[in-house]
Amino acid sequence: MEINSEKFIKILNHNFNYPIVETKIGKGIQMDCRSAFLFSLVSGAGYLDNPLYPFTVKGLMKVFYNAMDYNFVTGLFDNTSLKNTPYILSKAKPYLFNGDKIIVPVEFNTEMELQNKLSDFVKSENNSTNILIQRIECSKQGNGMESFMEYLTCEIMKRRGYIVENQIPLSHSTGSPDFGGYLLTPNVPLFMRGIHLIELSLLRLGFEINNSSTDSKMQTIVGEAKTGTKEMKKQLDKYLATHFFDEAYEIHPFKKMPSSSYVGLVTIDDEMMIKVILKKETRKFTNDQQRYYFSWLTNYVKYYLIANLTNDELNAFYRQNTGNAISSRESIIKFINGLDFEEILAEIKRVIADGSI
Amino acid sequence: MAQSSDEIIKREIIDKFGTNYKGLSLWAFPESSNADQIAFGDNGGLTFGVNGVLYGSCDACWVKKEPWINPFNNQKVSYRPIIALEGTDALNRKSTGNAQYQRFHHALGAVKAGIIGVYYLKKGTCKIQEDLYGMAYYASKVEKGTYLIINDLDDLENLLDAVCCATGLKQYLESQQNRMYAIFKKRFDESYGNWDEFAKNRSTIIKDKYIIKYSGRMKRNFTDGSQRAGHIAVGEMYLTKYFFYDKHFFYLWPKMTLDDIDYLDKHKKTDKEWALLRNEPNVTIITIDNLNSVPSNIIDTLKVINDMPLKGSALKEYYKCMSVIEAGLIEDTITIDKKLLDAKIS
Repeated sequence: MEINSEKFIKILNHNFNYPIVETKIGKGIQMDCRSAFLFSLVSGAGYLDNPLYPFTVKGLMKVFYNAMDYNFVTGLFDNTSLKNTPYILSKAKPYLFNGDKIIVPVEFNTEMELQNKLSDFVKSENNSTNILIQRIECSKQGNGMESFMEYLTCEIMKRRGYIVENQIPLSHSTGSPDFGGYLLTPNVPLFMRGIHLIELSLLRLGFEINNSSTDSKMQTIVGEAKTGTKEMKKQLDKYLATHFFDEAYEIHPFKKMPSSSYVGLVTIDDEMMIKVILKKETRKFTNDQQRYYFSWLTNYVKYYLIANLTNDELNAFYRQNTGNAISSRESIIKFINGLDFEEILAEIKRVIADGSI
Repeated sequence: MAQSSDEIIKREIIDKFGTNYKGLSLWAFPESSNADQIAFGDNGGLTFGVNGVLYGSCDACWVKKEPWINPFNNQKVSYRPIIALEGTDALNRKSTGNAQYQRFHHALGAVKAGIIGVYYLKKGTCKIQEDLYGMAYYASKVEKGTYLIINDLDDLENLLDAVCCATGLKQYLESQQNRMYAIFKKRFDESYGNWDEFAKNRSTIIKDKYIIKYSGRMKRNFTDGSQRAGHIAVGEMYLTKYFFYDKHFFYLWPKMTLDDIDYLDKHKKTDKEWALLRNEPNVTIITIDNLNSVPSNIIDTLKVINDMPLKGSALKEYYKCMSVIEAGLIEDTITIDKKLLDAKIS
């Protein structure tokens, strides 16, 4: 069983109530621009700005190579500058945050077949950047839908209060887990729950976060997605061996039961509803290492908040606090890690109040 | 996972040139697809080659809609490739050394197939190794097509413009060849001054009709995929081959035996890099078994370290052995097996 166009539409419609709409290129799912942005970020679906290489934000907004250190990857930051922040991207590609979007799943066997199909469509469509293409690669086992499963897991775990992201930083030797979820209160402000990490960088664009809870819980979960093979446990064992994570989830569209009593499963049932099966065993995987991981995560989310600023604003903020100009990556890291959330949020409020949105 | 080097390059190219540039259509494929890995044809493919040997895949290619016979398989294709580009963001990823050579063969397939191959190393914190310009310059002399090394998309724009007004293309390519040679020569003169000095410093022995370059490769380098030995060895091979393009090149791996080569031939049948190492015209891989008159104590020592990475005491022993072998090869007290030598350089 594989996720094809029809199932794709049903899954998004049944689980999230996104409306189904018709387009010249087939049925699609309508989303507001913020949701579509998150969909592109996680699944890799591309805005149809050209038929050859539709633009996706996937992979553009990472911060660090690994957990527990502060080695920047080119993403939100590039050395000492902010680079691919949603705010900066919104200036270069205004369509990203403008109007509703339609996600259209397209099945294909060869790239040339897909490109020809998209070329014909782009020629006949005035507003093609409002369309995002979800690639359904029929030549691949599982149709290459791992990233879509990561998206579904992110969305379902948001409902459970987690701050979520996919392809999370961990370490070179263990690799990047496909999914991570963090509960970090009281280390972080109470509104930071049930969101994708990048949503913290969307405040500048007027997208508010209205979550609130008095829950105070520190917990981390991790997941590995597959759509071809059902073997994920080996990888999950590696992640659990870091002692950072409380729970691990296999993520597979049609697996019925977890491989082991100590891992959970995110799957899809016959009605195309997302189903979360919790682990049965209450074995504890974490140790003192997790405390350090929590500290690192607490700093980590600050970088996503800082990404609401422009480079000029970040420089001014830095100068105002340190009396100097930003001189190195080390100095910017020391500065951001040393800030508390109130200071960062106050600065974001200040620049927004200045009217420079 | 962050944006990959290939993704950065492809996106940059599309942002600057769009999908069609003055009548030339761009071919590029997303990372998740394997369409760039197949031989150039009507169903896609960004991998070029000649006479049944495929080289590395490219990231982008500008094509014209007109028939072309692919020299890899002699099949007719409805599109003619004009420029094939391999790009990397390696200069922003602390790539200062031979990692830059490792991708040289990706655009080389296009050059061998008679078109323009471009190796684009996006400007970054590291500089391009000057040797790379020399490799491209000499490859252009030997092969049917032209090889260009660039680090700025403005150069690519000039090239595309020159291609579109065909009358200026020859002149443009010549000026680029001269530019690359000047960069290479300046560094070569500063570092070595002449080829004998180069050879002394670069594990190379120059003979009248052939050269020998030795390297401490071991079997495990090729069987353990994480070591990328295939890519490194291929880069080294093309550097030596094109610098000494008028001589036969014996690539000596003294830590390995003919049995090791035989094992790799049998077990690496589908490995692209291994295929290049074994099929490159004018290049022959030789091992300790192909040398005559190597002292037995040297052979024994090499056997002891044959599976050890070259560091610490293993490296010391290797250097000791190689100083004996190198001196012997220079003075002809150690020689390459005569039958093999005659077969290759006659």
